[in-house]
Amino acid sequence: MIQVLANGVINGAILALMAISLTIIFGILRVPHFGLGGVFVWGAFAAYFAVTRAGLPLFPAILLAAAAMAVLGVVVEKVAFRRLRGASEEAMFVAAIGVLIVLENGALLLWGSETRSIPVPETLQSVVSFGKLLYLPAMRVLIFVVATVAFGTLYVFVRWTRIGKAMRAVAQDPVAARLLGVPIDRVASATFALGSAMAGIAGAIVGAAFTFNFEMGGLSVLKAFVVVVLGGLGSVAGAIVGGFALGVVDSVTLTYVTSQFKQLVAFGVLILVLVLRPSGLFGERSPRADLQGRG
Amino acid sequence: MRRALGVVLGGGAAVALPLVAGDGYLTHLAISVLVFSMLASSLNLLMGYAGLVSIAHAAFFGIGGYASAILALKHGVPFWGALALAPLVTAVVALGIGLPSFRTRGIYYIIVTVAFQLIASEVFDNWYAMTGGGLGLRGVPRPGPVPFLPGVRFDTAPAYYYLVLVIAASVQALMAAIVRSPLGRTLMAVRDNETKALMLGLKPLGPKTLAFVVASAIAGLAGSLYVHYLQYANPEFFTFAVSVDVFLAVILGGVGTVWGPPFGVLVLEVVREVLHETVALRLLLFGVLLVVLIVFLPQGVLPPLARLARRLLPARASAARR
Repeated sequence: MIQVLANGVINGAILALMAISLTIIFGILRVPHFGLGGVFVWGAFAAYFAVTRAGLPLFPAILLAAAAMAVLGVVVEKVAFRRLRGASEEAMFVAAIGVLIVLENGALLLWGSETRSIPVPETLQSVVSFGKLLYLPAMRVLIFVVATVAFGTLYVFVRWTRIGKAMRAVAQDPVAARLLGVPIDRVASATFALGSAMAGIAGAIVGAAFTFNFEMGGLSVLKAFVVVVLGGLGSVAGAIVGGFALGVVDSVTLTYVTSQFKQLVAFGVLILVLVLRPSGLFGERSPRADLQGRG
Repeated sequence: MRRALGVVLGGGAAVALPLVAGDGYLTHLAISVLVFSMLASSLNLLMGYAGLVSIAHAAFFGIGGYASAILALKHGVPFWGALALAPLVTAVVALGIGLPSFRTRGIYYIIVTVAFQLIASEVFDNWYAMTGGGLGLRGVPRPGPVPFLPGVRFDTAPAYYYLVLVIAASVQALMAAIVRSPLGRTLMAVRDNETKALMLGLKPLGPKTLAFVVASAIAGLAGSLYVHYLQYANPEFFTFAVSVDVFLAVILGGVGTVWGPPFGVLVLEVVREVLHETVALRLLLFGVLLVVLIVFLPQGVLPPLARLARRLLPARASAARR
């Protein structure tokens, strides 16, 4: 039982990373960026090639993947979303799905369909025991650590840097922020860079601890969206709590209930929450009220 | 005048096609285009007129297909009975999922449809007792003799093509009629400005529900036609990717135009044939197309093409159109 919970918590950390990248982009810019599923895949590939081709150690490779994905995020924002600013959520969703399809199939064309795993140093292949109760592969413990560091860095960035403050201003009221001279294009670029870097880190650590291939992004970004909805869109704390909650629920369902209909539970919960409590479990405002407010 | 010419030319080509192509590949493609144009047109009723952006159309396509296959294979219902019952089953499911989903708006509504699509796919894939799981259901029968019309048979590909052609044409006619009807007007008023429509005393829930159920039933009907033609039902026919394909066809042809979505299906089918060896490249192209269309050409390609045609043929342009 403890083992099952621990696995859930670790999967939850990955879900939470993805959910945060979705939620900051949606919370700040109102863009439902499902293309992050593709960024997730590209992050895994970037780290993989940094280790195998360039011979970098694992941690610099993860950082490099994050940086590369930040650049990719800026490009995606410029190409696909800049012209759609102020367009409907539906239009942005269509563009995001387009980006997801392009990135996934681009990865397939460039690097093939085989399932790979990022090679990790031997010290990380051992199993850590916690008081004889719980045994976890070191890689999975590392996921937890990397995710926590990423959450911390994000918090510091958004809380104390100048551009972080600008992001929060845009999230609260884009029109007022613009009137006060907040450079909206730079904020958009920075937000996409930040969100994409988080998704890239998630991809890299999944690729190192488990396996990855070109099509793993679509489902994981949808799972992440379930988390975001559970936590309330735009709420970072909600995304973290929701991530761990869904990770544990998933793990428990898989072990004790059914492995055959494993997505059914997650997506069933999603539909129920959206229909019954559209603002999410931790959300501050109802999306319907929000929608009416924006006409 | 020009419109009549288009109908005569298009209709003539559609009727003559199997006479030229016979039992061959072209007839097979044409059946598939017709089935998918039914899907695209019914999705357009939701996206273009009811303002409901749905990525779950392949799920309803599949529910109809599986319902029909199961009725025929496990309960011995003849083709014509299954064809009539499949849309009914789909409509009931649509009513069940549609009503609660209307509580959500915008991106949340889309996500509900995506989640429903994924749940449906998982059920198709895993409910072995009913759907045969990943193996699917084989041996779905082709149409038997038509009731009251002995001697008329639809069991060859060209004959089946005519059956599908008549049904698809009826669907197009139904769409054109709905758009002109009070139902269509109400839907468009709600789509354009829900608050204003409410103030005018329009009640959106009934029309929205009706549109959703009708669109889903048409998707179910298309599913039934599809599996009885292929004599096979498989989860792969009804995936999220298929939903996105239909969605792209609607956007490509023109959201909220009666003839745009079938046109979009036709264009995408041609692209699919040209690039049939490199699926990844085709999908990449479709992804680029989604972004380019939504950014630069959100009204689709048919309206600008029609404007261009009118400019090139000014003498006939004064004749009644639309």
